[in-house]
Amino acid sequence: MEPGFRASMGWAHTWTGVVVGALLFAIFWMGTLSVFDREIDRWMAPMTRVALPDKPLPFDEFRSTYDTAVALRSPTWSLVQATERQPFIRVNYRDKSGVVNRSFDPSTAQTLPQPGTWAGSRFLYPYHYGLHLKIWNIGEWIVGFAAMAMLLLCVSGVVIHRRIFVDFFTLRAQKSRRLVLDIHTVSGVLGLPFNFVITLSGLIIFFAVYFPSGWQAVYPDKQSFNADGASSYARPKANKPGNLASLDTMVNEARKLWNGSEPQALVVRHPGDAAAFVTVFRSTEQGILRHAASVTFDAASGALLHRSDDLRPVAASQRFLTGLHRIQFRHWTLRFVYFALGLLGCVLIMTGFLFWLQARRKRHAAQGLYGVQVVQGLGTGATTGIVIATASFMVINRLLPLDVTFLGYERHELEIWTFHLIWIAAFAHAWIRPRFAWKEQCQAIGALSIAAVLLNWLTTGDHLPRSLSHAHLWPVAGVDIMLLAVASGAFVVSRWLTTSKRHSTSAVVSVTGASSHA
Amino acid sequence: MLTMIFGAGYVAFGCFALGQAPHWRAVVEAKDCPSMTGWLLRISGVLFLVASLILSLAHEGPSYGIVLWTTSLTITAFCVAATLAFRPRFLRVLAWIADSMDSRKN
Repeated sequence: MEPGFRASMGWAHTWTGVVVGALLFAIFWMGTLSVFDREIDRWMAPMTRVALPDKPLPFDEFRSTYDTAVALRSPTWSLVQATERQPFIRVNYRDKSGVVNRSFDPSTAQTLPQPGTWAGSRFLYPYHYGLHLKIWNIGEWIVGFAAMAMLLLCVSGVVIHRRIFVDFFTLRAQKSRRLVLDIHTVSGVLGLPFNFVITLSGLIIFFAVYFPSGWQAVYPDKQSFNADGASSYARPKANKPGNLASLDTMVNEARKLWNGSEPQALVVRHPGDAAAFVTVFRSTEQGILRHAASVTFDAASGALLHRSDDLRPVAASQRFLTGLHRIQFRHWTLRFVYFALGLLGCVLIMTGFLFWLQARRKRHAAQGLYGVQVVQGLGTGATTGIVIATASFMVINRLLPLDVTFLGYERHELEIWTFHLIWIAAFAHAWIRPRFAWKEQCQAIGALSIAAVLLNWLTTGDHLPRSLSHAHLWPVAGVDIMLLAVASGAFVVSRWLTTSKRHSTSAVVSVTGASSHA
Repeated sequence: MLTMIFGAGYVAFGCFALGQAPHWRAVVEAKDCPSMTGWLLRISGVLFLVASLILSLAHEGPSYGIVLWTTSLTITAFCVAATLAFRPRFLRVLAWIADSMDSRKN
């Protein structure tokens, strides 16, 4: 540690950034893509590109799937109505092998083919908070540690920035020696409110994981904690057979209780049992507060059993911050703003890596140190590498046949393997060809993004003019446009790296000049 | 309305930026910002920020409005920084308005 508060904060900022930067970029990149996870789902699962009908189908239309769940002795059966962003009906229950997800056309109730992909909502989105490491919640703990590091970076970044107001708008585009640091400071200072709130709210969402002693000190088990905190209802099985009354009657009753607000989902617990109960959930699209009010009915008689109360202040605050972070509400302007700010966060982390390299390149070369080579490989693989892996994930999605299996792995697993193998290859490439890694990886991003757009056209027929001219294909058009924008940006950066005389041993210009930030 | 919310934010940060000597010189080119003009720009910046907040609350309600306004601050401030970096002359009109208001007062 350095003597003095500002110097020690500078030390903490530098080394926390280097150690956790790669992980933070992955979290920010995946989180940013998750803003449009359902739209990526439409792109990667063409069978779900269906139009939303004017009038939703009755819930009772899907009773045959409930009977299947009863026969399989599933502990739950749930149905989620189609929405603007997810325009098909989902039914879930369990069999001996795990959760069964079935999708239905919202106009005809016809079963849709299995998508064969985890796409945005099941791969990219969970990646940003759990890294798909589920044993002992280790992924959530790693992300929680990274989030704490991000908070430290935000605070220490402000402390060490001597001229925070003077440099507020300073991007010295004509002085390339300072541009990387200027971009880092401007994106850090201007993005500070968003980065701080989004990181803190991410931690607060998982408070029950990170601070279990809080609820464990007061409640005997998680169920009673949920019952009190979220006003949920539960009762044990009767172990006697029971019937199911009309679901639509219960849904209509719930609609009346909510003064006309639309129900979005219902869950039946203990299907087929005499103690089965049906919980109808209100839509959460209409506000930031991430709390679905619910009404619970007796499954056999349809009698009202429970109506969820308003949340208590602490629970309401937690659910508001959850809603603020998860952005499942219906507000397209804010969705695009979140996406832009997420990308700005990615730029912040990437330029942090670049500045660290710039500031040390000459000294490390003179002293024969290897730190720059190691961090450059790490930085390149973690930033452009994960973008290549994501583009490859989308390309392989359009290349694999729907029912393909390989070495016992199913299609969605093959996509995920491709993502990780390409990402590892990007790290290897960055360490093997450090002088050309940034440029070549930018070219790879551009080529893969264009290939993804072309493959979407060839395999589905939904080329950009067609998807732009049909409202239900706008999510597909949006993803195509985003891919083309990424390709353009990647080729521009690649060209700049190729033509720039400043590019010597890497894409990074050598900067040793004084800084207000370091 | 969204254009007005973001536009007011952009003008506000444009005023704040022009209130700083290096940015004023970059926009107006080799002319120092008079002290009164600097104050006019800063006060205008505050007023435009308040206007942006009011428009946001009026259009989106208190819940969405405050989130939209807060996030729009980052976007609009970054746009001003990019304008100053690549097309500083675009902000000359703001400098001219502030300067002419100052002249009238004097």
